[in-house]
Amino acid sequence: MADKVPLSVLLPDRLDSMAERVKSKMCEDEQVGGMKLAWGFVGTEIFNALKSVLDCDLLEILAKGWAQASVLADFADSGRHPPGERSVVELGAHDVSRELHPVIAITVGSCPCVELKFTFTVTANIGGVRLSILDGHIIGGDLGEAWAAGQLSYEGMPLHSAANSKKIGLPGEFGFTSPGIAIPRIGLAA
Amino acid sequence: MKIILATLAAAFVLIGPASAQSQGGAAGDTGAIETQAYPAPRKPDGRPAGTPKLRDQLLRGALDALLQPRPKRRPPEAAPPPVMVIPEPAAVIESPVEVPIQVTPEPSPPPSRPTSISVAPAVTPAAAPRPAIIPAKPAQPPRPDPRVEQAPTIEPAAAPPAADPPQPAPAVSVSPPPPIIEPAEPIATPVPAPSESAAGKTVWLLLGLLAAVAIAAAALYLRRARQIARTRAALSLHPSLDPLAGACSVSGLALAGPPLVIRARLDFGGALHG
Repeated sequence: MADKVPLSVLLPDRLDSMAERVKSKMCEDEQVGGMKLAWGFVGTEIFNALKSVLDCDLLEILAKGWAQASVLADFADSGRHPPGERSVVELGAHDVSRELHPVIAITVGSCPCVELKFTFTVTANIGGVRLSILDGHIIGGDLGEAWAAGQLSYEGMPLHSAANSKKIGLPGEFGFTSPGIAIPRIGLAA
Repeated sequence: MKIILATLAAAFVLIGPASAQSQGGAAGDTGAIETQAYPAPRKPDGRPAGTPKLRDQLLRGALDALLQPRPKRRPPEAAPPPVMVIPEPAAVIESPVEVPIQVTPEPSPPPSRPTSISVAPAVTPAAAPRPAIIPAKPAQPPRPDPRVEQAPTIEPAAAPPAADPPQPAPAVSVSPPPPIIEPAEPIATPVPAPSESAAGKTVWLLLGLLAAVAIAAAALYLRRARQIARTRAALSLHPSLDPLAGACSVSGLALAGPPLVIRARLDFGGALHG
């Protein structure tokens, strides 16, 4: 069983434009704008907070995408697939794209809190995957050739270029903690 | 010196032609200085050709200028530079002055002329410090001769002769200047000490510059550190992420094969005990 792959590994090593964006947003408040803050330090702290909040498992995110596929909706029906039945489903090549919205609430001194809502888009290209389903949950799987990349943006503007986006290979075998990733009864159309 | 020579030349011009006219063209006879024996020259029409009183006055004035002021100047100038400077120029200049000596045998000035001649070098003190260089011998001998030759050729008019005197003046001043440059070199050579001090100054300047840069960098660093500390104290972040929020899209998803269903069951068989 492979180790967990955190989403934060898809972030670039540094975000130079973070401080400027944050400053321009924060300085909308005159009180904050009047403070002589180390905006570079603020940008670094926000970047670290983003890393910490994106410390979730990449494969879990992908599995939630698979769980919503219609082809797996039947496995949520306990009538067709009674409890204890173990099913192995093999999926062909496909792409998964998932948007996440990390939010960072910033408070400077006694100034009112400012929430910065980022968008982190994860894109994965899956050559093929075999999923293990038990009791209406994805409990693990086995990936073929696969890679994933991420893009962080703020208010629709990317904070780094696509060239700086990391692209990583995904491990072959994976598993989730019990009971696994639940499959909704009515899956979304693929 | 120039003034003296000019006055002498003027006297020559005035006296020489006059005596030539009056005594039948004896160019070298300048005994006409004695105004008593001066016969009033006359023009062809019988009128007096010139004003003997005026000439006498000019001559006397020139002689006075030659004799009187020089002894007075000498003492102060001769005292400070008692060095060898004086003797050589005096000997050099004697030759040009010898011409007037031949001209005026009568007046007592012969003893005084050497003194007046010796004053000449004193007037040009700039050349004095280099006595050794004075071998400007070739320039001096030829010059007295042209003076003697020019004097008879000049017309008796009083004004033009004044233009001739400037010639001797350059002759005296020209000889000393060229060699002046040599003694300056040894003075410039012993300058290594200032170079060392200049190097020391540059080293100190560099050290000062480095210190200033270090101080500026430290000040900048401290300012930055203080600003960061202030920001850290005032800043608080609360990150959050809702994993269920956000759109998800799956494209091209399809079953690559029939699903494999595994149902495991454990049946307990009947008892074998009979």
